[in-house]
Parts: sequence; C-alpha cells; structure tokens
Amino acid sequence: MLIRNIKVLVVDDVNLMCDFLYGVTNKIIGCQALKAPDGKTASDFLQNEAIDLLITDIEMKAPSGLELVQRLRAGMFGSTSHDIPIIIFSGNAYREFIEQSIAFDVNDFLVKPITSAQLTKKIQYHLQHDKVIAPAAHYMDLMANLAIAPDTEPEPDRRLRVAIVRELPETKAKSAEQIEVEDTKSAQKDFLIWPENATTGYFQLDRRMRNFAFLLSCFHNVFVGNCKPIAIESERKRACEASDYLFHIAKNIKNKDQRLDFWLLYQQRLEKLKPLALELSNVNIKHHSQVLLLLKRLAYWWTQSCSRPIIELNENKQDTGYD
Amino acid sequence: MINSADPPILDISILIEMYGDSHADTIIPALVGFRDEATDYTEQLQQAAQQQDVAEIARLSHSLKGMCGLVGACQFMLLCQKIEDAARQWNQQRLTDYLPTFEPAWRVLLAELKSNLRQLGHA
Repeated sequence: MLIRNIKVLVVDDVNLMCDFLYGVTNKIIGCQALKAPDGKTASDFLQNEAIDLLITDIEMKAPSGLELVQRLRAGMFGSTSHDIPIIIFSGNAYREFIEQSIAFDVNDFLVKPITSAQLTKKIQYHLQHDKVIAPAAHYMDLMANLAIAPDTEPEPDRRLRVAIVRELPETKAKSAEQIEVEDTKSAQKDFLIWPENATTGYFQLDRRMRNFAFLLSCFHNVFVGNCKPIAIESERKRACEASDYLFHIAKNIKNKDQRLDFWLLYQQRLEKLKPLALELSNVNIKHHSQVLLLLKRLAYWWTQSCSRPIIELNENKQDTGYD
Repeated sequence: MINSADPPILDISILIEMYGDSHADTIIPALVGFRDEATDYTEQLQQAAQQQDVAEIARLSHSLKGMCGLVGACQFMLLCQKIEDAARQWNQQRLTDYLPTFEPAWRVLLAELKSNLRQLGHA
C-alpha cells in the first residue's frame, strides 16, 4: 500500500493566516499539514519530525522565518533534512529578505495575499521538482559570515553591496572544471535511473534514492569522461554525502513507522550498500579498474533495490504523486 | 469620507477566491476568525500608538494588512499598508495623519462584518 504522508509545516504568527495555510495544504492529496504559530514551535517540529516542505512567514518574533530558514539549510535540525523545499510566504517583498532568501536557496518567495489555488499549485510544483541545494556546511559558513558582517562593516548600505559582490563570482565565474563536469553531466545522466512514477511509499526516501542515483551518475560520468581529478573528487564527495543522507533518512523514517515488511527488506538493501559506500569514499580514483568494478557493483545494487516489492509504480499518480 | 473610487470595505468575493470555497461553512469561520484576531491586533496597535512604539506599529499593521488581504477587507488593508509604510520609514508626520483614522475605519469594517455575518445566518 502506498499511502504515505508528506509532512508540510506551515508557520505564521497570525492564526488566521496559519489556519488558511493549514487548510489549503491539508486538502492536497498526500499532504499532512502541521502548523506552528511561532518560530519556536516550528523549530521543535523541525527538530522532532521529518518535515518534507516548509512554508513560513518571515516577520515573526524570534526566531524569525529567515532565522528558521538559515538554521534549516545549515542542517541544525535533527529530524529534518537541510535540503527540503522552502517556500517563503510574506506580506512584504523587501530586497533584503529576497536577497537572503536567494542566498539560502529558498525555493520560492510568495507575496501575500495568494489564493488557495495558487498556493496549491506552488506546493505541488515544489514537491515534484527538486532544486539543487548545497551541502549544509555551505550554509553554515554563510550564517557565520552574516553573523560576522555587522562588526566588520558597520554601514548598512556598504554591507549590502559587499554581500552582493561576494556572491557574484561564485555563481558567474564557473571554473573550467565545473563547466567540464556540467557538460559531462548533460551528456550522460543515465548511469542509474530512478524509474518514473516509482515510489517506496515514502516521499523523503524517494527523494534520497533519486538524489543518490543522480549524484552517483554524475560521479560515473566524470570518471569515465576522464575529467580532471579535482572534478572526480568533488563528485565522489557529493555521491558519498548522498549515500550518507540515504542512511540517515531511512533510519529516521524507520524509527517512526510500522511497515515492518518493507523495512525488513529495505534494511537488507542498506546493509549491502554500506560496504559499497565505504569503498566509494576510500577508493583511489587513480585505480581505474577498481573504480569501474565498484561502479558495476553499485549499479547491481541499484538494480536489485529498485524492484518490487521495495518500490512500486505509482499508477494512481495524482497531484503530488502520493495518494 | 468614502467616495466612489474607494475600494469596497469588505469584498466577500475576494475571500471566496482566496479560500477557493463559497460555502458558509468556510466563509463564516474565516470572517469570525478575522474579526476576533483583528480586534486583538487593533487594540494592540492603538496601545502601541499611544506609547509611540513605532516598531510595534509597523509589526502589527503588517499583520493586520495580511489578514485584511485574506478576507477582502480592502479599505482597511490600504490604511494598514499606509501605516506600515510610514512606521517603517519612521515618518512621524504621516503617522500623525493616518493613526487618527485607524479606529473609525476599524469601526466601519466591524459594522460591515456584522452585517455580512448576519446575512450569512451567523448569530
């Protein structure tokens, strides 16, 4: 049975607005809304529940919506992944808020008021489209920089300009290695494939599996494409992080779930993945044949894992894809 | 004074569009919820105005503006927007102009809410 809930946390200190968000979200098939009237309650939810999507107001008493976003992206909440979709829902579109939201890779920035139909579409869109989110450490550094900035540069306007200049080179000036990696990625993406409409029955687990497949494919592609070692190492690191996340999320969900048959099988698959993941993190990329052999074993693991009864094709795909 | 160019005091069609539902079961709780919560916010805002707490005025008018937008309280929303802008800009002159109109505008909206709720069969 593929009935799983996608947990959507809605945060707004105005009860009327919070109830509105809660009502709209709960009407979306597959979604279970949780509501928090303040940042503190929201933090507790993020800490103790595996939230799949966050919708938050910005202007609240501390912690504000932006603080929540920063902490979430920096991976400071135990049960919630740092890379879940985040939708900011605010009455004001101030430049400062938008810039910070962009810096912390917020998925969307909605300005109130918004109709239930528009909001529903946005939620469905972000549940179905992954955005590439940097590792948590990146946002942790960003938070540290933001905390330091006021002391070093006291004038607000100047600080803003410096912040923009600091961000631009990272996005615009891609290194040759990055371009090489991206070209290779676009040319070959299908080393591992997550079947269309496939689901384990768990939204977060599907995301992790899909992400793992994608990043391992990236590693495979840069490796067989003979890219520079720095690019291969970078992709290897990301693939290892993806497997770590897969273990982490699986453990979180398993602890709170009663689908024993599924978890028995899935746990067996994870046990088989463990040594492969360890080898992936340690293998010497100069040893071409070893890496190729490891990739073959990983592909075999993937084939074995992406089959019934661990995954099912979601034939009744509607709205979020989870019924 | 309200002239013909003014937006409606309360436009229920906006509320219906926002909630995507025209049933009384949706509209009445939304209007009652708005009335109760906004009453609380307006009282706090008046208190903040007396204490000349501009940051609090900005925060409260911002929240009120959002609530008004959700239920279609157009005129009051515009006033809250003006107060919020003035407070954020620390524009004392404009605050002095707008704040005295706040309480009368709220009373007009309350009367309109009462009338609409009565029409919808809410006691």
